[in-house]
Amino acid sequence: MKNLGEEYQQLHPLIFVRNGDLVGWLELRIIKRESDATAK
Amino acid sequence: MFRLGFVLLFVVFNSTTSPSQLRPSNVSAGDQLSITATKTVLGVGESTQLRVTLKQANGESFDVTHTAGIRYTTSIAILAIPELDGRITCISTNGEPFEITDAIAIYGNLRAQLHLYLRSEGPGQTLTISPAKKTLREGESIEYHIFSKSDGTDLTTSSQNHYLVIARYNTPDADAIVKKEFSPL
Repeated sequence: MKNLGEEYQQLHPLIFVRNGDLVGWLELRIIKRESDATAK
Repeated sequence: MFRLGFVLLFVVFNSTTSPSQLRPSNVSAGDQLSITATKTVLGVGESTQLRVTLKQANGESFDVTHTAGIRYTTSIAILAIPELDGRITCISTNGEPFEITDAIAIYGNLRAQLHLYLRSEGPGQTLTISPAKKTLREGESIEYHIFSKSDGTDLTTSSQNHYLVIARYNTPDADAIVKKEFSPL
């Protein structure tokens, strides 16, 4: 039986926003199917 | 009239390369790139503006900070974010009281770098980004709001917002996924 955890690849993009002198950022987590990545 | 003529002659004889002729691909042997910053010690949430100078082998110097083709990066992406205009913002010290990263400017095959000293104390984030959720599956989209942290103003639809998406752990697919899902905010 395949371990579900092995089928996913986690990505952690960071969204950075500036509005004049104001700044903020946010780290997201994207769960991507490994099978999709290997199929490309 | 004499003065005007002198000025014109001076300009003509001193303009072997005009800034509009600058291209990264025109960089030649002997050219040098140097970099300075408005400040080199940054707390979390603080920014500095880089200034990059191209000194050509013939002695001419040009400010190429905002010239097409210049690229900015940092040696440790999780600590400091480079913007397209040469601003660098400290976003973390990775749990340490102090950290060091390099601000790097790349122009053609030239490269210059400068130590930035980062400290954990600082204003932190001055914008609050409130997403509906932080974990997404590929293909999912999220909605979120952006508020000024000081007075709570909703800036979600402000035309002054500039966005950068940084895929920290890059894979061949990461950029495409992130851009597809998040760039037209």
